[in-house]
This record gives sequence, C-alpha cells and structure tokens, in this order.
Amino acid sequence: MNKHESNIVVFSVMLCWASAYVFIKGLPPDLSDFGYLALMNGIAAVILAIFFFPKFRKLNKSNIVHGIILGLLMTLVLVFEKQGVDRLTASSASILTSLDIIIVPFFTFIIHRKIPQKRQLLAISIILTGVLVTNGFSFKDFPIVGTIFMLADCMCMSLYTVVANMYCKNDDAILLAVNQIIVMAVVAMIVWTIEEPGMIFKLNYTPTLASSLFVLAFFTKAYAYILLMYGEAYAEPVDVVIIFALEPVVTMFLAVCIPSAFGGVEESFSVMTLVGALLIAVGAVIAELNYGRIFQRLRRIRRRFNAKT
Amino acid sequence: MPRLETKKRYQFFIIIMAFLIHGLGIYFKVMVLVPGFTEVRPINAVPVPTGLFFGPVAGIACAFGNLLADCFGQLAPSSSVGFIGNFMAAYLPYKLWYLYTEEEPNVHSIKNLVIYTWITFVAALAVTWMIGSTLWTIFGVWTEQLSLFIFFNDFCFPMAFGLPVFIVMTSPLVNIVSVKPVKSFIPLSVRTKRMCTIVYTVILMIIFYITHYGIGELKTFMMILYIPAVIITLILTL
Repeated sequence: MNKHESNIVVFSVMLCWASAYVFIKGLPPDLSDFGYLALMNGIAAVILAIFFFPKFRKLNKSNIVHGIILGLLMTLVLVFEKQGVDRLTASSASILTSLDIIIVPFFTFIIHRKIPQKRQLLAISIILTGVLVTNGFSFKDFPIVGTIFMLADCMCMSLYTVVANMYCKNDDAILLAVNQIIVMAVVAMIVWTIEEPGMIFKLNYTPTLASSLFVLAFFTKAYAYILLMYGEAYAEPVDVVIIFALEPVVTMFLAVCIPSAFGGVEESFSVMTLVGALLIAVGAVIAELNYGRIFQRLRRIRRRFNAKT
Repeated sequence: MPRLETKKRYQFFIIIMAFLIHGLGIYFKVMVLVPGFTEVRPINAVPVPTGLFFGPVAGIACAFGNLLADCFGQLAPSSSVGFIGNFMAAYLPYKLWYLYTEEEPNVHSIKNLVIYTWITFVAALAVTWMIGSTLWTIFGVWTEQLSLFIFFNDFCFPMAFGLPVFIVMTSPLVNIVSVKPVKSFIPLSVRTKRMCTIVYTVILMIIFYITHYGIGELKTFMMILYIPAVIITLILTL
C-alpha cells in the first residue's frame, strides 16, 4: 500500500466518524452513552464475527492481548471524552482534543526515536493555529477536572494511535479490529448494566432505531476499525493524527451539504470558523504532499520543454 | 505473499454476500431523501469495487440485490430501471477500466486513482440516466433533486467507502485476483472507445442537466439523446 493509498484509507475512517452525527439523529435521546457504545460495538462484533469466522483459526496470544489493550485504550478514550465534554464548553474541549497532534509525535519519538519531518512540524503548527482561530483564541472556561479528563482522553488517543501502528505491522488487522471491538462491547455492556440494569430489554426497537443502529455499527465501528487497522499498518502515526485533525472541517462541510442532519449548525459559521477550517485543511495538505516527487516531476517537465525549444 | 484467489466456491460466497449486503442494506433506510425512490444509501459503495473484481457476476448480484430490496414493499414496474441501473453500476466500471489500462484493477499509482475516479463518475452518470431520467420519461415520475441524489449516492459513496475497501483488497495483505477482461463483441479500437466514453459522458451530462431541472420543453430533445446514449452503452458494454 502506497502513502496515498494509506492516506485515503485513514481519511475514509475519519469520514465515517465525522459523518456519524447524521445517523445518531435516529437514536432515542434517553439512550445513555454506554448503552449506545454497548449496542454499537455489540452489533459490530456480531457482524464481524459472521463475516470473518474462518479467520478465528488464526487467533493467537499476541492477537488477543493486543486486541484487549487497544480495546481498553479506546474505551478509556470514550469514557474520558464523555466526562470531559460534560464539564467543558465545546470550544475548550475541541482545543484540548486537538492536542494529540503534539502528543503523537512526542510518543513516536520516545518509542521509535523518530523525529517528525520538517513539513510535518510545519503542518502541526498550522493545524493548531487553525484550531485556535476556529475557537476565536478563547482560553477561558478550562475548569480543572474537565481539563484533566480531556487531557487524559488526548493522552489515551495518542497512545492508541502509536500502539495500534506498532501492533498492526505484525498482527492480523482483521483479528485486531474484531478483538478490540469485542472488548469495547463487553466493557460498555458491563458498565451499562451497572448504570441502568435491564435497559437493553426495555428499549423500544423501532425500524428507525434498528436502521440507525445497524448503519452506525457497520460504518463507524465494523468498517472503520477494520480499515483503520489496515491503514495503520502502512501509515505513519503522525500522518494518521494529521488526517484525523480534519474531522471538524469535514463535519462543517457535511453540515453545509446536509444542514437538516446537523440541526442547522451552518447558521453559526463565522468568518473565523471558516478561516480556521481552511488553515486546518492547508496544514493537512502540507503534511501529506510529497514535495520531492512534485519538484522532480516539475524539473522533468521543464527539461522536456527545454529540449523541445 | 500468496494472492487471494477467487476460486469458484469463494467467488460464489462473495457474490452471495454482495447480493445480501446490497439487498438487505438498501432496506436499512436511514435518511430518506425522496420517499419511495431514494435515500442516503452508503451501501452504493459496493457495486464499483465488486464490479472491478468480479465483473459481470457482480453486476448480476447487485441487480438482484436491488430487486430483493424492492420486494420488501416497493416492487413496481419502475423497479426494472433500478435492476438495469444497478447492474450497470457494477458492470460499466469493469468494462471501462480495461479501456484505460491493461493492469489489473488497483490504485497503486496516481494514474490508476484518476482512472478509478473517472470510471466511477461515468458509471454514476449512467445510473442517474437509467434511473432518474427513465423514471421521468417512461413512468412520468419527476421529483426535484431526485437525479442529484442518485448521482450523489453512486459517485460519493464508491469514492468515500468503496475506494478504501478497494485499496485494502488490492494491498499486499489481501492481494485479490480480479477476473480477466472479456473480449468485446464490437470490434472497435481502444482509442475509438475512449472517444465514445467522452461523448457518452457529455450526452449523459446534458441528460442529467435537463432531468435535474425538469425542463419539460427539452424533454423531446432529451429523448433523442437517448438513442446515442443507448448505442454507446452497447458499444462500451458488449
């Protein structure tokens, strides 16, 4: 898989997660977060188990342990994120979440002794500026507990990105994805049962709910995690985190295209938001372009042109 | 690394899966755009990659999958255009791919990525013509933005979700073996067929424009355009 191919794969995962809002609309408002996670991951685990049943013959200790670690890390990410978002304003939460773009290169350096390339550092600074511009350079509303939860979320997500990248190089991507989804489903189911005992049987499973659950489970869990594992096997962790930084831009784009699905969010767009989104997008493009190859091609074209004239 | 051979037994399994995914997936209506006719259909990502890998059989699977979905409440004479449209959604990309390259379907190079995008675009236009415009001219059904939504479903989803799956399937980890190209019945050179594809795209874009805006005065002109469109479809697919 080439760089552009792995980037497309990771971009598609980000697209799935960014567009989840469209389908979350069909879920009942009284469904708790853990209920949502338990159902999503449970359905995704069943779908994957049916599809990839023959693959289970290749299960080994490494697959299982790594799947459990990734599953637990992702569960922590979701728990911390929920706690953080509940205590912070949306803009403060988004600033703190975007810090993984700094933490991932740091972890990569510690684990692999690999310094990010200059263009990646430039891209990171542009993306961070974009995030700050989007939020209007607002540094207030950072209560200590919420900030700690959000930073913990960020640390876990960064660790997940780096660790997944490491595991995917040697383990079977499908088994890794299936194992981590099963772990996430089991953990969420346990917490949900403690939180709201027997709620799974009390839910009114209407066709709209079933439809939304199926599509969310299929695209945001089953499809997204399998592809993420394949993408991580080839992509650099820094590239992954840069592509994931595009999520607010894609969400904004989708909100413009399908405003009804986002509750008319497009009305709140300001010039600053658009400039910020543009900066994030420019940063991502800077990081992913292969300048050496572009200059080489330009030189070749110039040489051909000179030879003709 | 061994390649994923599509032996008959395995190919049969994949076709059954494509049939069920496409058939049942459509029934999971998440966001209905035009009641009774179309909705946001992420499952439309399936035809292009399966068509490129399995050729005509994938087309048949998708067509019957769509018919299966229609059987759950929407079966009508207009389902026939959906049947043909979904067959073309998988079969046309397979036929077009080998007009531009002799390589097996993959997007390892930027050139192949452009080819994938181009054939998805042409196939999406063809499906929009076969479903959107035919519904208007034959069955008298015209709804604002119906054509746009059909085009959106058939172009954006194969690009957003179909392409990444296609990349994974052609990656060294899976390395699927695609079916070989079949010899064309119509003895035209590749260059002529490429020209035909461009003309075809222009015609389909005009038909799309007229259908999208529902310009009744140009309906006869649009029906005249159907003749070259049908002829070129036959040239490209037979």
